[in-house]
Amino acid sequence: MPRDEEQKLIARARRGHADAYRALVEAYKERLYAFVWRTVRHHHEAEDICQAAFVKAYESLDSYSEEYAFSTWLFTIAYRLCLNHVRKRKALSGDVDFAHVGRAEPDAPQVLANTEEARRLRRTIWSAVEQLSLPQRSAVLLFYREGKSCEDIGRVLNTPTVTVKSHLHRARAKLRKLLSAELVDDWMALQFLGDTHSA
Amino acid sequence: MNCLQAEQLFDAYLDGQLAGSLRLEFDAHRLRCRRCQQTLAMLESVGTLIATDTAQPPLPGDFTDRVMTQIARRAARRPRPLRRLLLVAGAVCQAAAVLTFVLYWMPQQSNPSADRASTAPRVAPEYANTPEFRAVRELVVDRVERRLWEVHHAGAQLTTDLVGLARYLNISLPADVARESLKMAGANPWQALWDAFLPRAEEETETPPTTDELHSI
Repeated sequence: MPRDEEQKLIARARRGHADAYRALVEAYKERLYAFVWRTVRHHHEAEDICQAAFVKAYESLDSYSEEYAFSTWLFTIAYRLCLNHVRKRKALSGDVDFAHVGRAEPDAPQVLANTEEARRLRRTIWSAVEQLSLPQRSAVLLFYREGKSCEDIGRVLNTPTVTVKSHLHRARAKLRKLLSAELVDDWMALQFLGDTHSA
Repeated sequence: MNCLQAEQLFDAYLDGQLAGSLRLEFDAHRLRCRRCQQTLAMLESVGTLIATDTAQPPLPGDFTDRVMTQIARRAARRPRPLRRLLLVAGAVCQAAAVLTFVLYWMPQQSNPSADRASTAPRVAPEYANTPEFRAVRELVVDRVERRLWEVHHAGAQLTTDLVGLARYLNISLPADVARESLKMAGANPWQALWDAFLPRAEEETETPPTTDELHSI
């Protein structure tokens, strides 16, 4: 959505026009949900967090500054809700629940992979991503999926840009370590599949 | 450039921040180093997959409707500014009314003259007319009256109970005490509440001359 159009919608939503905010929800719900789902790795919990994030964003619209992208602000709210959720889950279970790691949701569409081998690699990569710490995983998702700069990621995670770079560096180092056992040919194949899909 | 040096530049390369001669040197190493090529291919694949993979469960079709419904529901529950102001004003008025009630009306209710009239033990008429009862009554009245004036002359404030008892026994009160007591008994709590919010200019009230003043005239 173009920035000026987005700002007009925000201005109208601030004046109480529900249809304007509806358009914003429509524009961002998939992106936000993808981020939240990859963070909490649970379909219904991710849905609830997204809903809460949109409601909270609407109620706090007056505090939004046009200086930053709306998506950065929205992801900041969602990230904080995710953090609270993960903390609660941790408090309940005694530790971070990695039971979901590597488990594909039953209704997850198989869009990217064309072969069984590629599907296996895709699961392996996501499994490795999910073993990253929450700030590292969020930084990686925002960087690659949302194309956010380190400065913007810093705003979302409420950390300095240097810390974001450190998160990305450590995340890549950990991914390298976790995925180094995979065959080189597999990486080339996956890269090819990924490029095909994005094209 | 060796592998160790190249690895230190992986982040800058992947973030697109490697430029100039360092980038040329890095590319030169990458082209001839199979190991670095593999590592970079792996990291680039991860990035590509994260960016493009949409393998998350789909959001329900009514997600937006649910968000908007929740927003409307919460907005209806949340008091609007004017409503909130009225609620606060109402709460303040209520608190002021309770305070006024406690300060003005309760003392009046606990006025012994009123209380005792209803709660004091009734004296049987045949006994009330006996000389013994009248003698005891006169003794009590005399004691109370003397004590009351002693306290008053000492400059101490008379308690509500003592004033009430004096009224009950038909004892003449000092003029200022009597005035104050009447003012308390006749106070209108709503007028007091009104005065508390909208204080009026001091009215010049004509006070009746006291007994002493009448004597001096």
